[in-house]
Amino acid sequence: MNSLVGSPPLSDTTEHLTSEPKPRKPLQDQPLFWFAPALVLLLVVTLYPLAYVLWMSLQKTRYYELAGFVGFENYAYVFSSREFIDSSIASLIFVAGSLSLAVPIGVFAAVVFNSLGRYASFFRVVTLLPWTLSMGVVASLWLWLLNPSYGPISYAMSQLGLPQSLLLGDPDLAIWLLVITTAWWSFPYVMVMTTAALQSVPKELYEAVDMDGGNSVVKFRFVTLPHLLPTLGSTALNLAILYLTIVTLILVLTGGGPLGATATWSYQVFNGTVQTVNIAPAAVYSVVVLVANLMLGYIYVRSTGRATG
Amino acid sequence: MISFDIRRRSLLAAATLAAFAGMVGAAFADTEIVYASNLDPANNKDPRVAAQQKILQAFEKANPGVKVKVLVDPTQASYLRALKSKSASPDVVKVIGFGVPEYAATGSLEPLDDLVASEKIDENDWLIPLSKAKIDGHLYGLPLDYRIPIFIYRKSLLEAAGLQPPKTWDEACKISQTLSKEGKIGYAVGVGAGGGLGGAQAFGELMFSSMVTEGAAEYFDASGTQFLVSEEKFVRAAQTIKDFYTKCNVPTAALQFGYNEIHDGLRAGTVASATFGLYRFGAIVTAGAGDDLAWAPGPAYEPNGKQAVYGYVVALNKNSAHKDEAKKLIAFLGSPEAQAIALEGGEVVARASVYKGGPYFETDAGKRQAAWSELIKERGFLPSYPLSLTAYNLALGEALQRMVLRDATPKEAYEEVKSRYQRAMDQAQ
Repeated sequence: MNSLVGSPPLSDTTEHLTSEPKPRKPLQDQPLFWFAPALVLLLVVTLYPLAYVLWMSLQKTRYYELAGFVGFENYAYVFSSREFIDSSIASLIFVAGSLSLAVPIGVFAAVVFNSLGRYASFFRVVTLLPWTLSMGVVASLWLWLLNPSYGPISYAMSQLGLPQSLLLGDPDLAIWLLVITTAWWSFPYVMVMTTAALQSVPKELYEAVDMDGGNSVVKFRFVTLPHLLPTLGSTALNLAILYLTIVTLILVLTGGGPLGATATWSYQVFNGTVQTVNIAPAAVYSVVVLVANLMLGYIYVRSTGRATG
Repeated sequence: MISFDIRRRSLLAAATLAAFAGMVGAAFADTEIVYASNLDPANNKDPRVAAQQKILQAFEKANPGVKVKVLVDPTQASYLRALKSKSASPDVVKVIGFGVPEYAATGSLEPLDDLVASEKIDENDWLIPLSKAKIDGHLYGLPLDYRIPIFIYRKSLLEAAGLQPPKTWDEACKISQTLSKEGKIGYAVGVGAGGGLGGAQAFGELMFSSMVTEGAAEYFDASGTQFLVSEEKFVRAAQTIKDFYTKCNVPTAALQFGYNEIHDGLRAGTVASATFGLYRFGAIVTAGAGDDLAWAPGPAYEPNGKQAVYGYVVALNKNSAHKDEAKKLIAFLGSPEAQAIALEGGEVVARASVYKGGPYFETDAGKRQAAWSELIKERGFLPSYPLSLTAYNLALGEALQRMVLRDATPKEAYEEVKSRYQRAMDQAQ
């Protein structure tokens, strides 16, 4: 006689007391199964090249061939060279300078256009134009503008009685002209991101400031800016990473010169890989850029953590 | 109604037949060799391209079963990287002569000594004998054409000032002193990178290599790793360059000029004269300078001093999978038949026997090319090139720019070039 006949069904709380294991989900029901192709692709195109560059930086190279493990010799060679110091200074000025111009100008443009009502779209489209141009086109355009012999800027300077300058040919000035060119090209990106963020600012807060008698500056400082900060942080991080990896603009505008004044870390990677075919030091510079980008990301994560409390 | 079984068998039979036909077809298919060139077949405005196409058609006609596919890269950068990374393609490459030491050192090129012997190529039927083009006793590239620096100038500007083309650097200085004013550059001495593969390539190729060697002194050793120019010769040449900027009125803005800027300046007339490449003459005439553009032999320390010659060679990829066919193409490209076609495309071809007269030499272009070929025979020489031309040009350009911009001395420039190049060689070897 079946002892279970007529017995009440086992409750849920007693199911775990049974000795039978939980049946496994079929493979196609497991989330990882569906993510696997994308994950594999991601690993192949990011982690593998990264690992290979790290490996290359520890090797002696002869043109494109690896010629033997040398430990940190390449790092010692690069870090003790004058070129590394010069490149580090150039990279710092380039990134910090471009951000210092692009972010405030982008925010200013976004705030001003936001108050233009129905004409805002037109101005936004026109202002976006530099960002739509390729870096090669931007550099060619500014190469002409900044030509010391027949460029319009040089001509305007002579008409204003300003002393003639070599402009891009001046080692002390070239990096700042590169900063201006880069800021001109990239500030529309800040404008677009800021415009989007401005739409999320509650209107009631502005009304509250009005009721308290606050002016535009007060509104911007105590209402607009706090709401924009997270967006500006991520935008600045994206731009900083972009600036650190820019090569085309520098290659066309200055070729890394004059006297190496505009040879940033990424330019040194290009130089070592394509021009002089000295791969090992180029790999070291690649690692330096990677570390710098990771640090920027860490700073961003820590600072936005504090800002959002 | 056809049963499924019969349909399946029919499909299987058709697939097998198709596969068999494919294999048979492949066995009888033409052999395709890839020829990497800086000339784009799609550019129908360049007469050199038309000449190249004619040469390749003639080759294919003479060699049924072999097809040539042209791989275009005007800067040569991509296919030369392919060579250095041991790719099997392209099979045949057109390489600028001063890059050959680097590709030979990386084991990318097959020596052509056997080809010269088997095809009975006359080693003396060249504007510069083949023996002079060897590296470490081996020939790695068969010369296609030669270029010698010439003095290119705007006739109207020199004539208006009562000046003649210079024979010496001192005379070039006088031209610069007289004509460099009101936005014009009398004689452009550019140490920039524009249009080159990196560093002061135009300057090194067209001026400095001639200045420091004068046809006699050594430039680099056979391996291309040792800079052999004496301090005395380097300092004299560097001082000459510095004097152009400090005494001869060459505007400092010209310091950053490379190939592109000098080309544009001569075209527009903002540059009155320059020592430049003969291969640019026709293009500048066509682009706007017209009949106002003229040329003369290039200046040197002494009148008729020796000038460093460069040119394209055709070489065999050591990793090519079609070496026999590739060698046939190389031999054909260097043959008098192909060189005669290339001559009428505008090149100053390397084969001497091609210049024996004919209707083409009655034309202005033909007369010019004949005159240039005589100049090459009379004043040209092949210097021993550096192993890494870009590393050398980068060091040279920065050292000389520092000399002008920061008032460094020529001796300091010499030390900088020597030490930087040596450092680059120590790192790369």
